Amino acid sequence: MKQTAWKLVVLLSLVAATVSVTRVGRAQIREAPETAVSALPAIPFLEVLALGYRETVADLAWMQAVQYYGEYRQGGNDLSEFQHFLDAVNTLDPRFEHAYVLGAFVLATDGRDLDAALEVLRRGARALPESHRIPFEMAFLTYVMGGDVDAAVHYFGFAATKPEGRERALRFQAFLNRRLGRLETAWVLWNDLYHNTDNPSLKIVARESLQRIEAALRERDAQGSASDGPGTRPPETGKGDL
Amino acid sequence: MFARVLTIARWTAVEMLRERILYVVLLFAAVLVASSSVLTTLAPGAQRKIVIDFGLAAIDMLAILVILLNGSSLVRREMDRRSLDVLLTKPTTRLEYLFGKWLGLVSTLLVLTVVMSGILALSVEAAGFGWQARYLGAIAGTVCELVVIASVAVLFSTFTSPTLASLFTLALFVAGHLSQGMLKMIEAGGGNTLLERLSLAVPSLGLFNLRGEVVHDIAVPPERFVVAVIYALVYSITALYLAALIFRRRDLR
Repeated sequence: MKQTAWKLVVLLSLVAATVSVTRVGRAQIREAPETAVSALPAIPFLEVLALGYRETVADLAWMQAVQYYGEYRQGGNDLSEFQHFLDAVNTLDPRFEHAYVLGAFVLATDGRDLDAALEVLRRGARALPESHRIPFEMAFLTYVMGGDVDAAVHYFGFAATKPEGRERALRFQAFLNRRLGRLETAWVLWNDLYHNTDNPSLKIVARESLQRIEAALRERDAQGSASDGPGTRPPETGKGDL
Repeated sequence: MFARVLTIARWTAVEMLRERILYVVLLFAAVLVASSSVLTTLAPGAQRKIVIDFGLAAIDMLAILVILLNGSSLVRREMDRRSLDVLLTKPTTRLEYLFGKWLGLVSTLLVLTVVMSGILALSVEAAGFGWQARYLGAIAGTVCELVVIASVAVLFSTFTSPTLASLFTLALFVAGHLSQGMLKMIEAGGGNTLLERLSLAVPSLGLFNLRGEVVHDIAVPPERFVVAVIYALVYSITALYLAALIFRRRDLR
């Protein structure tokens, strides 16, 4: 009986010691500086380490990237190593489209590095030539972050050559052409959408846009302007290289 | 001959299914596949990819783990128990015995893979991503890989201890996945005939890895499946024959 009591005391003491050490250890981890990137090995090493599970390791790296971004949003880091995570993900799984798109968005908006973002997307476009999301994102970032409407029109045109994203890209392309004052080009694009879309809501939007452009053209003609400025150029086809 | 092989295979499978480790692995698979659904909250926008990636990789990794933990000790266990002595007094050759052991191990792995695939399919359906028939292509690739690794484990188990057999099998599994990259490095370095020849002994496991293609909706040409199946069978038969040659020379007294 006495022996059992002793064993119980020893066991409880050990459990108490373990719990205390665990708490101290956790506090140490909390106080330690941000180690997110050191937790991700160098890319060539990761490639070897991944063995036949490259996509799974890429997923893990992507989840770490998302967490790293989350920590940045909460003031935990300066986002300077985000590119490293992105490179690791894209090297391990070059067809991970979502990583290119979201990664580039973070680089351009929070990182304020549009060139790096576009470079990531270009790499994505080379790995996924059939993707419509990547050229669309290039156009979107170029327009919103860079303010380069001409380049954005070009990228939207490129996205419009991909069957899956054609309507959305054409719509943006038409919108920007109108903003640039290229009324004829905008009219051609909206007209294309109007006649080829199966989406009833988009058909209505296209019809209303056509009516507004036609009104603008009539107004311009009434003012005696024969020229449409840059809009006299043929419509952007979007064909070519990114 | 086939009746004897099938009898050994059946009892090997029964023995393995009685092992608790298989049930632990099944439970682990269920937890892992379920947790992949939880992990998706960390990667918004890529949920489907992550669930499928993790599920398919988990099936492969756990089956490999079963081979390493159980497959590598198949022969040694019977030697230690002396049940092998009794078995070999019957009209059974050592090749038949090894072939039966391998077939039993492969059958067990097949059962395990089917169950884990079922869990994955349920998990994918429950997450609302929709199970697709093309995922079976990646699972078929995994089965081919398991067939090869099982034969390698049986080969090593004929001449060394279970621990070393597991380590050797693991080493060959790692080498098999690195072989393609190593070959590229050898070619980039101007080529090395000896290394190139040595690399032929290492199973080319990259051939069986169709997970990337499946996850990214890339069509896998049927020829690849045909080549993978033929390669898996030829490599396994060669490894088993080599195992029989080694095993024949062993004095079991």
